[in-house]
Amino acid sequence: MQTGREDPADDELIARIRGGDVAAADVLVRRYLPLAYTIALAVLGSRMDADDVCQDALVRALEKIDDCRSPSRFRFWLAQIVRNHARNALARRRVRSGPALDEVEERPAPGHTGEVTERRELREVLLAALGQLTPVQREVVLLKDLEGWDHHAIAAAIGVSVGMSRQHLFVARGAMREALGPEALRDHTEGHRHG
Amino acid sequence: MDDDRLDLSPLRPDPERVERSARAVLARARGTLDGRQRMRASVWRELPAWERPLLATAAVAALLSIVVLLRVHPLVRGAQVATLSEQAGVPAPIARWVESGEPADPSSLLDW
Repeated sequence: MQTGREDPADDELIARIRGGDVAAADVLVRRYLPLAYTIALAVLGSRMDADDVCQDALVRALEKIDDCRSPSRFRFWLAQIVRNHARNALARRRVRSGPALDEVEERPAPGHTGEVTERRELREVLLAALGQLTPVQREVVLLKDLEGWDHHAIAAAIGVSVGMSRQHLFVARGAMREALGPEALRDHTEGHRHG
Repeated sequence: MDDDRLDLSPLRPDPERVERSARAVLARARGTLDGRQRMRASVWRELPAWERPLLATAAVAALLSIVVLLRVHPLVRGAQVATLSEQAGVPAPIARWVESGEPADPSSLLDW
């Protein structure tokens, strides 16, 4: 939970956004953009689509901010909006307008070309492994291992019991390890440790 | 600490990507936010203009409520048990005449 002037809590930011405060919207968007992206990625399995959906969902959340009845539980409300947008996008198989961010080349900083390439390769391997999971398993493993949520929060967000959340995580991690293989896992871990 | 945790950090969007996306979101939501600002400003501007009429209406409503209470409420009328006609606001002499079933005496009508 965020407190203090430098890091205002969600409910404070939402009260300000309801009055049209652009700076508050800026803080909230930057705070939750990675989460929105993670959930969109879990549903869609594609980075390009996840970018678009995550932006659409955040715009929608700002437009409908009055509908957020429990501002302190904003992340759950936003997660539901992102999930709905992602499922709609999946159902429509919509055609994107304009270049997605994924199509824009990641420009490595001078002297970091190898690092970026390695990271890109790791990402491709992980995305392929994630592709082996069901959307629910993807969401659970991403929320737990990438966003650091606990099982109570995950269960509340995706509408399952805590026990089922643990079960999904167990199965997802096992499937990921199997898909990645011991080599990839070791390289990944070592690459990350050196990075 | 969770030992089984997988390191999925390469899937995290890089800061540059987050920055671009955040700017895009805020640009698209700008119209909505500006609208909210204008709405709030106009509410605060309009409020003083409505203060006097609202106060006057509230005073009239309070006065009417007191009059109605004095006329119909039994406690206010000296703890008498109110009859149906009294509760309906019919004046007591007329109510007595109606309840008696007798024809009205012209002199009592004149007195009243």
